Amino acid sequence: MDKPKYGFVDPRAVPIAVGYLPVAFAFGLSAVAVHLPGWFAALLSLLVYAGASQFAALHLLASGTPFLPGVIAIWLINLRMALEGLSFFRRVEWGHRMPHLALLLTDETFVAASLGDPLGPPGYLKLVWLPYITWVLGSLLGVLAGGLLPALLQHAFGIAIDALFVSLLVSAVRADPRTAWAAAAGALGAFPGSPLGGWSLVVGMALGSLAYLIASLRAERAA
Amino acid sequence: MNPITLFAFVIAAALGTALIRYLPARYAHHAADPRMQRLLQGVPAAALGALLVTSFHTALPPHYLATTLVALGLAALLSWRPGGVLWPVLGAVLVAAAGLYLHLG
Repeated sequence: MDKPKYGFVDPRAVPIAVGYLPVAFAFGLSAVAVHLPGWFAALLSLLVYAGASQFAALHLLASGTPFLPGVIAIWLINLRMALEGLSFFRRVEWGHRMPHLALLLTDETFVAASLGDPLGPPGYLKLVWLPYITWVLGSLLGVLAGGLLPALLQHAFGIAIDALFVSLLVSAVRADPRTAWAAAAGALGAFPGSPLGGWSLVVGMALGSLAYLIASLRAERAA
Repeated sequence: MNPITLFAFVIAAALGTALIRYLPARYAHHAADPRMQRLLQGVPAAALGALLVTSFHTALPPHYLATTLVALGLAALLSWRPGGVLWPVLGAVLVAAAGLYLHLG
């Protein structure tokens, strides 16, 4: 189950946290830029902890969207997490006993936690605590300090999450070639500029899992 | 919006998001149908593909495409032999920093 050599932090959490820092920092800066109070940005990071929907919240509130449509939009953007939670917690036998641990699951930690051996609660916590703390502190730093990180470093760190995705994808495809179909269909469904807008990620994930199912059934028939 | 409405907005967004995360985790073990299980097995890789394509164009500004491709290519190369994700990611960040420095410097 868990790999004790990890110590307090799963090494896969480090690039996620490194990638989160400039984004969270930018989120804090953006909140101040659209004249929303700093406590609002910090509280959103602390309690919602979902980057895409947090940035959307800033745009919605800054453009004068009313309360209820704004909140519903946030829920819809985060709906993909239901699919992720269902996928991850089905694989672990402790899921129904500790479902509250799902509150720290994000897109990136879900992908890292799902590929490879199933994690136990300690292994899962070693993966998720650092990105969460980094996200909250990064947002606070963005609100409080602003402009601390040179632009060059911000951009360079921005590639950390993409490099993590590439690395996880290569490992996953090497372990199970059918995942290449799932990833390709997922990418196709979520392609930028899609008329689906905020739903493109959800549609991409649904298409990808369907592609994996079809590839599995074809492989079974061929065997 | 006034501060009370903003506070209510955060609480409503947080409660809804918490339920979206909590309920599937609580009842995921009921999804025992083999086809459903296979469908869900594809979700992580699908999410990986979807996230990669949505975040790719925001990783570096568009005119640093060559740097982005070299950095991510290096990450893929370093991931070919199993050995964790730290080196691929560190390599990509270093290439990105060097590429940006060359462009800007």
